[in-house]
Amino acid sequence: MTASLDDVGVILAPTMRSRAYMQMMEARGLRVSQAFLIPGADRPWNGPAEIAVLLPNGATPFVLRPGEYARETVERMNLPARSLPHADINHPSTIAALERSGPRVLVYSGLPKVLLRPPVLATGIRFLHVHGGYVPHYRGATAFYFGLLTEGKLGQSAIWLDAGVDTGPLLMRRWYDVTPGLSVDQVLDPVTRADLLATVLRHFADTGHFPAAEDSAEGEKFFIIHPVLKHLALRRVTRSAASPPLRGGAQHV
Amino acid sequence: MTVYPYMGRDLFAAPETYEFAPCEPVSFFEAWCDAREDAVRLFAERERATVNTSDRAADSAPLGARTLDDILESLLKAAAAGGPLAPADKRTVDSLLQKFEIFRRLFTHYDGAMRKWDGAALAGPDHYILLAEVLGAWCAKTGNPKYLSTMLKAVDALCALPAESLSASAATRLAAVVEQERRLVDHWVRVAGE
Repeated sequence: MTASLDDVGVILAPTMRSRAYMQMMEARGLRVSQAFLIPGADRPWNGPAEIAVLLPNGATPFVLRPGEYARETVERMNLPARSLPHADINHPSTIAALERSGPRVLVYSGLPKVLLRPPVLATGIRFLHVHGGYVPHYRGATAFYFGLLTEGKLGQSAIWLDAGVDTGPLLMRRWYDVTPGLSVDQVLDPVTRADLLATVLRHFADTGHFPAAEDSAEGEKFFIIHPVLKHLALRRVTRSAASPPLRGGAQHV
Repeated sequence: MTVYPYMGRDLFAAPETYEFAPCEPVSFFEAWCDAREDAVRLFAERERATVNTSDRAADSAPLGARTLDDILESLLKAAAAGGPLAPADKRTVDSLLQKFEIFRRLFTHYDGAMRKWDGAALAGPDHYILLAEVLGAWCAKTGNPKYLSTMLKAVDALCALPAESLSASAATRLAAVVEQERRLVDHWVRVAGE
């Protein structure tokens, strides 16, 4: 059943995450009231046209079409869309455009590594973001890779953005198993974020309020993971019996 | 043959971001192992070739400032001591880690709030070796891989320096740091199921 989310819009950047968000919303029958398109060029996809991802509680896999740009999904869903004047969410012209818009809640799928500054936070619009990492224990850049390394799973968290680094109020979080053979950066991270987002939006559509979760732990802030640890994080979840051993493994001790 | 990509240039002057780093093939890990082993060999040659190099004189601190040496030494002691780590020490080590991650440079003096002391000089290789020792010790103590991640970046930058920029004693210490780094990485190799 399609749910119309009248007071919810979405900010979309030319990224794989935005593609996954829109395709997941379409698949789950979630119709936001407006899409804001951040300027920039979409990167073409050279892989398979469709990739099936099995998600928790999913009777059938979600099928991502990685080569379908977010704006194309927006057009097919016939959603009202407008281009933002600037890629920076904090730019005065962007803030003015958002203030003139209707939705009081905006799903933020903008460019990464951007913190919201006081002027945009002062608009009264609430920005819903899905952070790649299980907060508050895994905050910051590539936090989900640290989670993958230590827990062997992909942690995702839906939060309200504030001025800090992934410090805003928590709505919902979830650990996802990793499907071997699928790219974490290009497929699993965007799709699992999209799944959590859709779960949050469905909750809102069904109940009229957003979920809230609590965790008073101080948490940990991470910075971009070193490639050696990223290699080991990926190896932890994708290694097969046919994989050649690494130096330093049990057989070398 | 895969070449470890974070060598051969000054990573302090032109910091590496490590964003979307391609690292999946086993050959990447092998290249890292080889690069570190090559570096240790160079350090050993440096030790043999260098006679009578004196250690850098310890920095002195103006009133109200702390030297980076003093801060790092106290963090090393804190990690070596038994019992839980003090929250103030964690704030200090996390502050230095953040500065290194963002700016890839530290200074010789800081005030009580870990702000750069006015007139402080840029830290040198000896400071970064000590930083790597601290990060290794904190990783070993806490099990938190974020300290190892930053240690790996610091060691990348140090190993990419020309060998002649290190004193003999610094080369010896850096070789020991590389060994400690390898032991810490090996823990995660085993966690990865090897």
